[in-house]
Amino acid sequence: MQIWALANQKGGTGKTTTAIHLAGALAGHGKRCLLVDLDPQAHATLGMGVAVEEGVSIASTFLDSTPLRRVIRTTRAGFHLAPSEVRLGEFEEVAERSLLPEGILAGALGEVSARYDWVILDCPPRADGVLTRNAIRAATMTLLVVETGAFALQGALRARRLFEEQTRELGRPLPLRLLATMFERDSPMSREFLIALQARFRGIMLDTVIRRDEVLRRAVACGIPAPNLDPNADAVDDFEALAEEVAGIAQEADSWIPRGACSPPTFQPEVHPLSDDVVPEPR
Amino acid sequence: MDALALLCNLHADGPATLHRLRRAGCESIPALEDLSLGELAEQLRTDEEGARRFQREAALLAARMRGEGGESGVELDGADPSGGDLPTVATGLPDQEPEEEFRAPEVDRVLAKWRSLDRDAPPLPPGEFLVPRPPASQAGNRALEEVGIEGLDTDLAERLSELGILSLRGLRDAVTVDLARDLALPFTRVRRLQFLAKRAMEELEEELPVESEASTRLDTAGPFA
Ligand SMILES: Nc1ncnc2c1ncn2[C@@H]1O[C@H](COP(=O)(O)OP(=O)(O)OP(=O)(O)O)[C@@H](O)[C@H]1O
Ligand SMILES: [Mg+2]
Repeated sequence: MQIWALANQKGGTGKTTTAIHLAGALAGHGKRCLLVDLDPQAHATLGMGVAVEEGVSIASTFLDSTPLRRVIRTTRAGFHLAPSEVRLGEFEEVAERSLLPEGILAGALGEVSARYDWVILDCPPRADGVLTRNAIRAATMTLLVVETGAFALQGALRARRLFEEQTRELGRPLPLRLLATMFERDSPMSREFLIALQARFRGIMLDTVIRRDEVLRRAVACGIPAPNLDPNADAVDDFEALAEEVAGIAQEADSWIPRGACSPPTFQPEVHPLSDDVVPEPR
Repeated sequence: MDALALLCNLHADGPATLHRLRRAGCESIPALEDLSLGELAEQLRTDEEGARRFQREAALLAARMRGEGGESGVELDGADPSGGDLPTVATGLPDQEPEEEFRAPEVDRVLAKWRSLDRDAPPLPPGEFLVPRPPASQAGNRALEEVGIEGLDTDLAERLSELGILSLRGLRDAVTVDLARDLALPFTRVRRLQFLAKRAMEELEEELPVESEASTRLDTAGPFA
């Protein structure tokens, strides 16, 4: 199971938009995909138009040890969602009194690992918070989502340093990639930012760049994924390309895992809230 | 991201162009010189003038990267990826404009589609997706063979009919992932077919009378209200 944490301590860089549409594109390729909303602002949850029943969200997993499968919901976009709610914010405080609070997510995902090919973690804009530390500990890859706008480079370098500090705590290497978003090809400034990012991060920067596309803003605001709004939008092509690229990276990483350890992509999305019985079984 | 990928993002169609160039055996900016102008234009899906412009941009980018000490040698790679001095580009831009109010027509179309999905497979209570019924139109009932849809030949129409999909509406409303799997076709191709079916319905709807004018008001404040 691939677990990719989408993170940046800078706000508004496109983490949530990317998380939703990458999950959708992977599901479109037949991957069994779970999106975990780790932000107390619950933007991914709202962005999928999911109304959270109070007390049934990822907050319950962190605060009340509710098994993850009990909070998972299906979405219209073909992937599953572990929704969030404001209450998740309480965990930062609770964590101070807990033993190994940054290991909770990894444990919870372990319980559903046979059921998914991909897990996408949408992190809050706090790289040093306990929720992001949970994500990084659980992740097989951290994807630094960087807007090709002002202060992008400084933000990316700071985030990278923060992640590297956590790597030292973890005691294992932290696979890191960088994705540039909100790129405007017609804007000389935006092109300069992209060139600057590539100059510093070429070794970890993905080939795919997500262009700025109005349809994405509408999509997240309406709770309807972009392909449903406009299948011919640039953004849809960009996320298709992103899904292909990350799948390629994952395949490389998986190639040294014994054959048969990964389940084939035969996922049937469902349209109802999940109970124990309807969580798809691995085939 | 290597220099060629950067160039494709800056001055062409990004990864799509990059894949085509790599398939044509072109793996780096210097290797672009091995392609004739005509070949390059073909890979870029442009004309020779466009290809010439791309070559100019390639040369400028390569020179610039060498100048900044970031690129060397044939592959134009190998700078210190860890940071160091920052280029002087990341200064203040005007704040993002505020989110404007909107009521896009495509939002209504998507909601209409989901309404029909809800009718076919109603969600369990408490009805998270309680939405109104769309006005029934006859356009959706038109048989697929009657309407010319690009890329839908008789063989494909037959396979669709085996899956019980006989009408424009049936094609439009099918779950794309399932359909792609059942037809063993790429997801994007199926989605394109569905888009064309939807467009054909809209075009026909302008010609055909609507059966009944059901209300399109939201029955209940759902998550999309
Ligand atoms: N490629 C894009 N094109 C146009 N608008 C975009 C794009 N990506 C994101 N946006 C818009 O930018 C804003 C911020 O995006 P998003 O919420 O995804 O960022 P975030 O990093 O998750 O923010 P936060 O740090 O608050 O969690 C939103 O209004 C979103 O719709
Ligand atoms: Mg977010």
